[in-house]
Amino acid sequence: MEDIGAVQLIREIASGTRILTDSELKAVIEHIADAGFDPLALERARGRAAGIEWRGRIVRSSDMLPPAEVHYLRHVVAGHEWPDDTDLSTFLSSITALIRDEHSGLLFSSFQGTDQITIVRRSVNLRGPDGFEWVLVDYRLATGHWVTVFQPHKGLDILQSPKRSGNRVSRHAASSSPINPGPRPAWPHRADTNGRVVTNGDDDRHDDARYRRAHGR
Amino acid sequence: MVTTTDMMTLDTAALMVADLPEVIAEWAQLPEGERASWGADWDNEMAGLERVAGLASRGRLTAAQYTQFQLIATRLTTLTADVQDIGLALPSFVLTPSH
Repeated sequence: MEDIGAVQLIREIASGTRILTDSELKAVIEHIADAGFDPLALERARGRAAGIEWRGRIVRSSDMLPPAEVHYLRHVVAGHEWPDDTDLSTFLSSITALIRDEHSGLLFSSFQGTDQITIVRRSVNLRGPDGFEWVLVDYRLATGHWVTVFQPHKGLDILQSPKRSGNRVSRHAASSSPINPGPRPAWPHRADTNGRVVTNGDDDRHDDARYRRAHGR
Repeated sequence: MVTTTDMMTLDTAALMVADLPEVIAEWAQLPEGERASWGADWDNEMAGLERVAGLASRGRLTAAQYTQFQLIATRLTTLTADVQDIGLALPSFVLTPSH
């Protein structure tokens, strides 16, 4: 399907006028996977990326960098959410692969009043020393690009934030992954009759403990 | 027990809070993508800070960690109105202080 077709599909889903077929969902996922961070934008590095040596110099808080680099420096280099040997290229390709992974969940919602699509998957092999159980990617309809990627402290509970409204699940995250075939708890959230994502009471911290026990971590 | 992840959370929250006055001043002029990015990261780091607040209330932080936590909480309290003006959420311990 043409990319413009995927964009139109996303707009129609956001406006609530269409339910995706499997092939349409696949086209939307491909579009989001290929979108990446905005290559033409610049973001201020700010405190979380300041002081890191990058491209032969020390980053200053006021430096303007491409969003892909800002997020890499904040979440991988400074935050250690990804494994320590993850370079920028590996970080970006891991996100593309995660979006395409059939075990990822996909959610339409609004954040700060603007439509977006959020993709979530268990972090498994992407989890670094200070990472968490899930990876979250926000794709913004207005920009047509990813705007942030991180491993949320409170797992999928972050989707309950009052800033995120109108949650509609288009694909549920799976209970296991080809790279992690061991026993894993199922997607701990479901959509209620209003399309709002609700928890089934499964606590991520307990998930985590069970996972670590099961895998000897 | 305070983990290295908790300590990282405290440090990251401190850096974001230190950036706040500049972010607040620039907010209206920031590109939409950067506002969404910063807002989502903010929600996440404040969720982590809530966890550290729980450790603080149970007396699990060292004196230095508790001082750092208190500095963050004080700064957030000072900036409460401005933070709410730009639509960012505040952790519950700032809105209903008990520490």
